[in-house]
Amino acid sequence: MLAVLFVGGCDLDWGQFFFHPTVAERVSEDLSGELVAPGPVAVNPDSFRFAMFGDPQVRADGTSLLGRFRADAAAKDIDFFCVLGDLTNDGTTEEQGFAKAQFDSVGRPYYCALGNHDLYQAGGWDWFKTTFGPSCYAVVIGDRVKLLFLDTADGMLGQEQFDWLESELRRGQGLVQIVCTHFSVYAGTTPIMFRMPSSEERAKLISLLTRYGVRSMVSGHLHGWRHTRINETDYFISAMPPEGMDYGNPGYVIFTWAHDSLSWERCEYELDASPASR
Amino acid sequence: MLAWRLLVVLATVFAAGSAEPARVRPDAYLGFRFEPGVETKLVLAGGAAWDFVERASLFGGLALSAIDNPGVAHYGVGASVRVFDRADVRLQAQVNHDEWSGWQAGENRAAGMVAAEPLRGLELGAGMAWRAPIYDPGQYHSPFNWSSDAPEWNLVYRLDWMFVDRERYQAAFWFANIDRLTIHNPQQFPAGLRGSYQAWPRWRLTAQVGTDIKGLSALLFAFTEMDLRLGVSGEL
Repeated sequence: MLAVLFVGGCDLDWGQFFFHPTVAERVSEDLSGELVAPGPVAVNPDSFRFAMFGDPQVRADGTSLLGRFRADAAAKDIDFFCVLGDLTNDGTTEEQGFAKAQFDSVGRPYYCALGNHDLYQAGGWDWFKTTFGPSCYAVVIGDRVKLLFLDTADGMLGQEQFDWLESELRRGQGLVQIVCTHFSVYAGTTPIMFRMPSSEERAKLISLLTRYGVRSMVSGHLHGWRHTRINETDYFISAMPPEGMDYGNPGYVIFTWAHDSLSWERCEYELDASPASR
Repeated sequence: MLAWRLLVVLATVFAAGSAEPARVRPDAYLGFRFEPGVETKLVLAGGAAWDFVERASLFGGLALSAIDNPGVAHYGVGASVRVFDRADVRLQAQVNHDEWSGWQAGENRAAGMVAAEPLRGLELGAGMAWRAPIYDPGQYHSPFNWSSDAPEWNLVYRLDWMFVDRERYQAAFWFANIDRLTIHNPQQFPAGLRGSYQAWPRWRLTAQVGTDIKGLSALLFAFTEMDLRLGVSGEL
């Protein structure tokens, strides 16, 4: 893929921008068996809770909302959490170190997806795959819920990932299935850039999720909160950056499995609260 | 439905006052659209514009596809009215329907724009469209279903610069997210080249190559889509 960087104020690494592995190359590596995917978290299969959010974007000084989330995770008895890309703001070694340490400090198991801020940096993909494993993988929790993590770090899925997704959705029939990724498919009625860019690719993905009765797709990238229901699937955007919201407040979605059904609720932080945390 | 009514009104009003002989401009092309990992298809499209009075025209078209999403790909109708002679300022309205049979998805759209030709060979236009994607497997065929779970506004624009205009040859650069049958969304920036050769007195051979730059985020862009077209256009 040929790519062009337009001028602006983001600290992207030009070399990585032009020469990072394509989504096809990353997915091939993901599915090669050489990367170790995170295993299923041990939970009470009759009752468990998990949180999802994107874009913690840990800053170079360690600033993030993960300290507040750590307190919530204990108070709300969250069993594990999922971070849907843009783990750091600029992908520097310092930020990567802070991000990993802050995720660990929550004291709960976690899963990560790859975001554009993670990918378009020097060594970004190498850091992600050696620290968290593949960017495209699936995990079944408590024999009840199947989480499918997709790599949309450069805004597209590619044929191999589509094929993998369909085979995993087919295998997961009978389970409650949730797709977790960085880019969303819909971001409201106002024209905006922060979602998967191709109308055709969005239609193809939504069609697939409809056909297999996927319960939810959760994403970030857009720094806002949105819930949209298309057919029988709930589409969430839930980002938790320490600053720079496009609209709304930062926060996360909690899913609760109980009484043989899955429910969700939104938890958010007021913007005027102190974001600093380590 | 407003757009349909507008077309009927325009046709009635301008047909009543018509003093010019009707001129019809038919065209057809065979196209190939390739978007890696998403869609590969052949497209057979045809349509016409009818200048039924001096100041107004109606246009419409239909495209069929093969390979991925076989069947109807797009169809639509529209009208254009010249409101100022200076710079050929026109108001244009169109309604379109898209289908992707393999994905059981469709989209209905209504668009309006203002276009002008401030310099000979340079056309500029801008406007807005309302998109209503239909992801309901039982409803996606219908051009009358405008109730969408994921509707959106869409800025539309057109820049078309004919930089070669010889007796038999024409060549142009275009940067536009709207044509008679399709609209690209605000994250896609389509551009390309087209040319034509007057092979017969009233007919030209046409060719077009296009791509689109996809905007991923504030600073990130990527080229992916490829669109090739070969066809004919006439003036009868």
